[in-house]
Amino acid sequence: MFSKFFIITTFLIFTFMLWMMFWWIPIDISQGPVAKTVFIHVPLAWCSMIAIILVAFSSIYYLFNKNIFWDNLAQATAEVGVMFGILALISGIIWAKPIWGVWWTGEAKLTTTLILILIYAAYILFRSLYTNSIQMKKIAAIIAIIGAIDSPIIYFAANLWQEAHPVTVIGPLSRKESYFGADYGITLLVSVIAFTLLFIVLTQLRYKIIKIDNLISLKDKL
Amino acid sequence: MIRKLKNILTISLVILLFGNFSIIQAQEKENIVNGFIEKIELNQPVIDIYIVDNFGKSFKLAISEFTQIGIETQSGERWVGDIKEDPKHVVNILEEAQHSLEPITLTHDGTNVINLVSYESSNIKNNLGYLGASFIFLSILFFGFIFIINNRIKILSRKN
Repeated sequence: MFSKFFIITTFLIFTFMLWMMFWWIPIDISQGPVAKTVFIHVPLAWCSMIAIILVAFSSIYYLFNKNIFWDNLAQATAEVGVMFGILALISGIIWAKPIWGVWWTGEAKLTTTLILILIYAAYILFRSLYTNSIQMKKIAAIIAIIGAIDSPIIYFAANLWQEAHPVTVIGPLSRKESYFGADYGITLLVSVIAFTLLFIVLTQLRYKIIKIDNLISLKDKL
Repeated sequence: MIRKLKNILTISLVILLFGNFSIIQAQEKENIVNGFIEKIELNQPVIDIYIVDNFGKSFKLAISEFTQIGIETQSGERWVGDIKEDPKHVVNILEEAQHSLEPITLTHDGTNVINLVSYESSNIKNNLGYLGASFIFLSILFFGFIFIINNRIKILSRKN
């Protein structure tokens, strides 16, 4: 009952976000309609960052108490997080072409994000290649923790190496002179909430599937 | 366990987002006008702009150094700037927009123009509407799929 309510709420907020994005907010003065990509790109990147933090914490917890819940959660979060990360990169590439004139630049923020996605893709690949043993889970947890070291570098990258990517606008490290207008700020807030709820829904679904999968393989062994 | 974690996540998300709400600057009350340029006059330090809106109502407003301008030029490029550096160049661009009957949108506070942009042609606005509608349609399909998967998982969980 709760998950049904959660999915419906997510859908309603998501639709509301799309209405705000396409009809409510005015077209940006300098970038034109392409600026609306911010409402897709930023929430996707935000969710992939949440995913990394969750995977790292779940992996640390798993290494300490060996509770299978944390390992399952790390796996589910990593898979959904990688998907969100890839989508964030794709939306960034689509946005970069009309604004920067190129699809991709080798600057710090973009490169570190790509490295992070590759680390977590390797994490998923590692899990799928090896048998479901405790040793595999431990090594996977260590890979996830090492991969998470990249996340603060990504967050600081735009501020440390000021290149084409804009500096942080929201959060504790944001510049005082940079801010969104009220309409763009509210729409961004709604889109971040919508995508975070979607992230929770997808992670929850994946977690349930992993749990059922584990039960089935346990039954097979018995 | 997962329910607890979900509750913690939701609560911390709400606190985090609404805690940062102060970053959203309050927007001034602005009036919006959609129309065409009738006349441009350079009266240093401002540029007087005469606009006739889509209902035939005329406005006389001033473009000051604080006005942000974004105009599509005839070469198809977008010129973004203000009148601080070269007001004569801005007058030329606006006269070009006037002669090509380019529809424009501006926001003003009664006397001064705050933002002045080329109305992103009705086509783009219409296309954005279609794009939005297709996104909503796809999201209905996507969430419908999630809903079905969720039900199937529940059935599987009960069986196992």
